[in-house]
Amino acid sequence: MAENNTQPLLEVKNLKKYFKLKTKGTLHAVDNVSFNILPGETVGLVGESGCGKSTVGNLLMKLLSTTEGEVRFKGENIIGTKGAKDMEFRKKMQIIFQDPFSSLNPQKTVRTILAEPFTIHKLCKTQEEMNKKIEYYAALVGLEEYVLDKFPHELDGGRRQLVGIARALTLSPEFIVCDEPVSSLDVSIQANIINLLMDLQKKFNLSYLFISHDLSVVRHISNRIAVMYLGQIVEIAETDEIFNNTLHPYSLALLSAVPKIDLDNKSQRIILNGDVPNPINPPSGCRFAARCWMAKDICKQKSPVLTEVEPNHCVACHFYKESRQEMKKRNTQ
Amino acid sequence: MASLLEIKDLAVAYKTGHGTSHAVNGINLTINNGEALGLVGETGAGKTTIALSTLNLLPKKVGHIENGDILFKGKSVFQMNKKELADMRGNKISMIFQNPLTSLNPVFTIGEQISMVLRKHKNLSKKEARMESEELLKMVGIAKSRYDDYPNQFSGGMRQRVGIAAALACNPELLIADEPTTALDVTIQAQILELMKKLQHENSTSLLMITHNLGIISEICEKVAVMYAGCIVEYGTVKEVFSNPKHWYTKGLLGAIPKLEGERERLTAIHGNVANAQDLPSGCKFHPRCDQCIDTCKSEVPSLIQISDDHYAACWNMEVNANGRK
Repeated sequence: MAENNTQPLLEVKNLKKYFKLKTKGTLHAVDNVSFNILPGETVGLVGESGCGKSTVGNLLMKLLSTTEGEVRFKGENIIGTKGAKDMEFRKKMQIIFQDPFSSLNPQKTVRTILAEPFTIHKLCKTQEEMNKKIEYYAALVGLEEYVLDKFPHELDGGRRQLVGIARALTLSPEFIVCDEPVSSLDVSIQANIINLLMDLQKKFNLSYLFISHDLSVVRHISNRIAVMYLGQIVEIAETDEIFNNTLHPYSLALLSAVPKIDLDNKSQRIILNGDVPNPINPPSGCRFAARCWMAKDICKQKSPVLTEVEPNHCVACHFYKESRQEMKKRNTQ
Repeated sequence: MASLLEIKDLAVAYKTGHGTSHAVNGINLTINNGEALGLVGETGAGKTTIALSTLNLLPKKVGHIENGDILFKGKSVFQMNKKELADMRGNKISMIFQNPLTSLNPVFTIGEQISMVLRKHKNLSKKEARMESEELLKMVGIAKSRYDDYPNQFSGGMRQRVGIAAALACNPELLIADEPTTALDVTIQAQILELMKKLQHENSTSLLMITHNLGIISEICEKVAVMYAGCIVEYGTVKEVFSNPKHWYTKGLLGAIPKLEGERERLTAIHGNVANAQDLPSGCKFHPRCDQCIDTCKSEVPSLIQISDDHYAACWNMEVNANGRK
């Protein structure tokens, strides 16, 4: 991992999550994932469905138990902490969920939903103080006051997601996992939410882990991007670097697959064959080998390690040099 | 070019106990032979309603055609009798649905489901149908050994390909694709788009592509119609509309999408929410969200004005170019 002058806010080291299945062995949802996030930085996590993006988010928030590995928040390992200490960490780390329809309790009004964090952490002495705070955070994300006394089903998707964001902000966290926060919204609403998230980041110096399958959204919001495939990070680099100097063949295919508004029709597409393989008892060697057009024998035997091949640019591929040539060839065509 | 499908002044409303939703409000569209038309818009813009009306598949008792007509090869689909409809659906016009998980029948093998179309419309024997189905599966990239597998044994992308194979079984003249790749991953989406391009090229099928993804439209379609609250606000060739958008909604949509190339600018969000179909604003449906709204917009409905040969927009307050032309 890169040497940085500032101390990272969050360090993830060799994080693993295996699900034991009753019948067929072990599902390797997250396998040896390491990265770090600096204060005020947004790291985008992209990949196809089932590659373990959300599991990483849930592991960081301790919504799932970790099989192996460390998550260090300001230098302290938060895996395995309990009681009061655990409560402290949970205040500093929050999550915004993908589906604003199922992540809000339908039986509670928006006000009660937003009051819950204050009640759990016993932060307000009087009801008035709490109401004031709730109104402050609602206004911060742009929710009108009348919304506070409504139930989630009375609101549209955009407003519901705003409630989710306000809830995540209530305890003034330093780190927020955004798990596909805009993928269920319409484009015009999506733009609002993205702008809001970026404004809030500037205002409170928040760090985000931004999980999404939409590459254009991730490019827009992230400082660095990690590409995941089948439970592993295959490439991680700064946003512009990963777009202009893609090294892993999977990232290359992923980037070329996004339909763009391209009126000259110049772009050439790499079409991958087949689907993402099954993460249950994955093959040894590179997990992408079965779909990779550059795979050689070594790929099937030896698993490539994520190595820093250029400053701040890590990739896990035996043939990243060849891949880069391919990239250059495509760009000049 | 002869027009294959003509939608004339179509207005559709859904009447339920809670009130009336005006899903489509006076739409005119023409699809010519071999043409690919994209229909874009946000949730509730009435895109799917148009697709269902074209096949006369609106839910009975709830969906009502308030006005207008849809002509397929000059014949109104609302006047057709049961037999004519059955003959048209799946044969001359077929549809690919959004959700590959629910649009296949779980208790029949995928082979049976494709054969069913062939046996019904082409009167093939069981054996012939099987042979042709296997060909179709091969065309969409599925091994014929999987003919006897059930939908649950396939991944989402493969199920969607089965859906495409079934839709193409009878070489339809018009293919309606309702968000065919929304539920799929990008690499699988790329496979499906590539397949659709190839088929369109080889069979010269007309295509009505319904999506909210402007990138897909730009790749597959020649023409595009932008919908808002049941109205077409802008129509034209993809090149014209995307490079020189005239309606403020189209401009807003294009500005709201993060780009994959170039500078990262702040997104221009459209304020407010999508219009409620049960309580539509008067005049231009977009006026409560439009920054360029003038008094006329609030009271009078704008009609599509021709801007150039193949470009129309419905707006009272269009930007005037340097040469004084709208």
